[in-house]
Amino acid sequence: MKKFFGLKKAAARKTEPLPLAFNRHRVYILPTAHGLLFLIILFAMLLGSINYNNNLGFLLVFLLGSITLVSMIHTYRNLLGMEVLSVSVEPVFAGRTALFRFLVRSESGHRRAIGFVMEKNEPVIENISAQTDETVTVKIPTRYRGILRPGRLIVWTRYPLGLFRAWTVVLPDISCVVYPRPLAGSFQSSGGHVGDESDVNSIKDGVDDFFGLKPYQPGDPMGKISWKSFSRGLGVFVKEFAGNSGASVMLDYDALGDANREHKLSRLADMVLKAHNMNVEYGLLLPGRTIAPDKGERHRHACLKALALFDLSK
Amino acid sequence: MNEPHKTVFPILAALVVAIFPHIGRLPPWIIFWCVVMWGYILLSFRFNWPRPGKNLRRVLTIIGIFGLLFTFSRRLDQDAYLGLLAVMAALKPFEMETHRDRMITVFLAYFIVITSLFLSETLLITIYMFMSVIVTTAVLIRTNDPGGRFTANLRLSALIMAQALPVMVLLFFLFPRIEGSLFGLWFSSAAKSGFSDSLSPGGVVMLVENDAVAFRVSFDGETPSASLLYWRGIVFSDFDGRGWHVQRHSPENPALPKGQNPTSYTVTLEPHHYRWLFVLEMPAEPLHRAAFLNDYTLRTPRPVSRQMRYEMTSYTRYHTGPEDEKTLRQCILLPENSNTRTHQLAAEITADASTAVEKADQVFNFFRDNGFTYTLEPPRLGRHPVDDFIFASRRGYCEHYASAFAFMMRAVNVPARVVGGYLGGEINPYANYLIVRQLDAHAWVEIWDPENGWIRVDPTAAVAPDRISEGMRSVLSAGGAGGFFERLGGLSSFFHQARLGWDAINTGWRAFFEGYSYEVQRALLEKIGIRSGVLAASFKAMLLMVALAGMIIGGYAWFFLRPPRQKPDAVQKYYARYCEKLARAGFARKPDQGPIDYMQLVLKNRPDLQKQIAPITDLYVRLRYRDQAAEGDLAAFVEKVRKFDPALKR
Repeated sequence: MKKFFGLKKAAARKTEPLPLAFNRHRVYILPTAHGLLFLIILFAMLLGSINYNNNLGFLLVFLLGSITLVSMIHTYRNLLGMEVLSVSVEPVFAGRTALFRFLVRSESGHRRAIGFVMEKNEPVIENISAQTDETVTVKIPTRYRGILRPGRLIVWTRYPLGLFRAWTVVLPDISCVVYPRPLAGSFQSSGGHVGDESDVNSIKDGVDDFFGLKPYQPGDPMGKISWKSFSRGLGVFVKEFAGNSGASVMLDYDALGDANREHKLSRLADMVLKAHNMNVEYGLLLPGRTIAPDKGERHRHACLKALALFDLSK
Repeated sequence: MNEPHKTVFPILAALVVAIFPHIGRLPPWIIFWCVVMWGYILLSFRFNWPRPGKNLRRVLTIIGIFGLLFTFSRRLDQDAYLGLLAVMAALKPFEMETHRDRMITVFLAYFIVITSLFLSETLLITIYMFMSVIVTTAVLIRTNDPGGRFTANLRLSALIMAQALPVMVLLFFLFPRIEGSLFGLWFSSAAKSGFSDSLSPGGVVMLVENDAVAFRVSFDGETPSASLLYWRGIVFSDFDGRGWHVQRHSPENPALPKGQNPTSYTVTLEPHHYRWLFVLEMPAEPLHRAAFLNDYTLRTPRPVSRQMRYEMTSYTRYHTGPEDEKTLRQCILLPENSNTRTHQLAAEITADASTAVEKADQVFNFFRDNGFTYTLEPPRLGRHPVDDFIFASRRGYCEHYASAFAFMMRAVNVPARVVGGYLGGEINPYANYLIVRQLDAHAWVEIWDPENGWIRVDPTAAVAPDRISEGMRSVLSAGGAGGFFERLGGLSSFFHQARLGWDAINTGWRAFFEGYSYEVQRALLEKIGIRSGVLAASFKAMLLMVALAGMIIGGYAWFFLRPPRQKPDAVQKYYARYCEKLARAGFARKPDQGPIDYMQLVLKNRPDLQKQIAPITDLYVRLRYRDQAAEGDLAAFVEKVRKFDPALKR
């Protein structure tokens, strides 16, 4: 019985590798609240038919009862045999919504009104075409930095009559890095002065000094692309500025005067973003961890991830 | 809701389909109410009008309930229940924002569909009911899947219903029926039809304009001749100067009439919501479901609110037994100072007659010979209706003649009373039963003769003999009072035949469908070998029902939920054949061996096969693992495997 309802089992279940097919051992089915109400109505009508010895009443009650039973099979079949192929997620800043993209597939026939839900959020309801890889995006709002483990994905369906609900529980091995929420403020690199805008200004001056063009490499900020040369058909070039050539800054946790740890991390996240946008070489100095100055998307992610994971155990 | 037409409109359609068969029974204001509410909803989505909020909805609900209380204050019956459902169905679509609301509204539609069991169990209603279930189920599907097309919803709904039918049939036949009812029948409908308990001018004419079926009769043997088909229902023995009334308290269980050549038959009576049953004159035996009154009529304990079938035996030529003095005294009572001229006239006409029968003959002749005419549109009569009729108008129909005749017999001290019922009927040629319609309603007289008992006298025969011998239809067409069908001329007979054919089908259906009761089920169960033993037969039937239904549903589950069979593709199939050939030559492929490893192993021992094996393996790898397989690769592969022979040395 326990196995049938799948409640206990799901709670203790370990994460499962994808791809994963919904076979008979993992698809459960129970009447919905509406289904129970419908059965109660049918029972009342059965009593009425018995009382009046009304064969038309009997016929209707039995017709609707049989339809209910048959609909159970249709509901079960709507879920059975579907597959979750993979899942992916991009890191987000705290306060934003993490988008878990599940790739699902139905080899045998199309599926209608399949609900995907994680963690009591609004379910996403999708139709799944036959023999096509379909992407289903499940949104989870984030609040805090760190690692978001979404837990169970419940895939369910009430189609066609809404009297039964078939569902299965998938615990995919997926987590989403949640960066600290950026907090705007002055730019402070190590050795700089708290509240003093001079550092920022000096770099900003540098930014304005156009130095030349270099070929685009993946990871270069979009804002620096020279659209003018691109539109002339010369290829994709990135503008380089005098200020950043050779210059690098260290973003220092301890240099921030603020007492609140989360505050500091948010400030640092903001500075990482600014430095990245200005195409400055920057490094990160955290207590117990140092990231050497560098540039590019990969570096940006490494820095933000370090901020996200910093001191998480406490 | 962004797309109301996806869910709201279908739900409205389901409600309309569900309510449609009840339109005739709903008070006009409720129909108007539904039309206004639903019309507003449709237009509000079209023109973006505001929809009523919670408070306005509450006010409307209260108005609706007051309307219901006002309309149905006297009686809480089926119509009140139906009215309540309709009022709710009109308002509920205003709140369909959530899935839950929409589900509840669709359930409401199902509920209204089921209410049609209060209508009647005709074939047409049954078919309509199935159609409504298809529509409502399609709307339920739409509610749970607003995306698809409605035709697809309908198709799936029909499919689900088709799959449900075997289980339904099983449940229908095997679900144990009981005798009697669980809680008693508390609903009674107000729509009465047929005779009322008094006979006053105008009453029967109302019936004559109504060609609804009163009852159907199938005779066990020969159908008696038309002039003997007097269907006795009510006896009116109290006259108040204007109209005739049923005696308040009538004793029961009279001496049974005697006669020869009994006629046995089964009557299927349509619900008329009175307590009398109609039987061929004279009933020869009591009926266990009804009281047998002293005036040879039958009364049920409760009004007949559903179709009722009963078997009866009658003598068309009969001799009633002795009658008690009290009844006879009552049957010569006339109010003082009423219709005095007729009083005198009766005495004059019958002056030289001595027996009751002679007196009746004289009065009968009087009607025949004095210019009385039969008409369904008689003039109005005054305070002394019998006097007015005999001395002034001389125009009337059965009721006038019966009333005047009985009056005159009483005036000369012959006990007489008026009998109400039906005369004749129409044989349905397609199924050999008799249809008696409301328009066959008739009234006649019976008089008491000490020697012969109660004798039937039909004074209408004096003026319209056709009415007796050929039935009401002859009178209707002759009198020009014909209905729609008569006016159609040539087409009428076609329509009439079609109607009789349909009536035969419908009656056959109802005899089977409604007749399926406790007794019939018992007989069916015995036939398949289920009898009461240690376990009651009904319990065994229940077990069988659950087992068979489980098998059907289990069969569906097995068929629809089995894993899809993987069809091995041609490449796989032919590679397996190639491996088989090599295995026979002594080189079985191990499960962990890839095609190239396998080839190398074989070539180590049989380098001579190089020319055959290498291209096969090459093609296989290309077809299986790379996307660059060319057009003819598969055909070449198949060909090479076919021709492959390890014994061949080249």
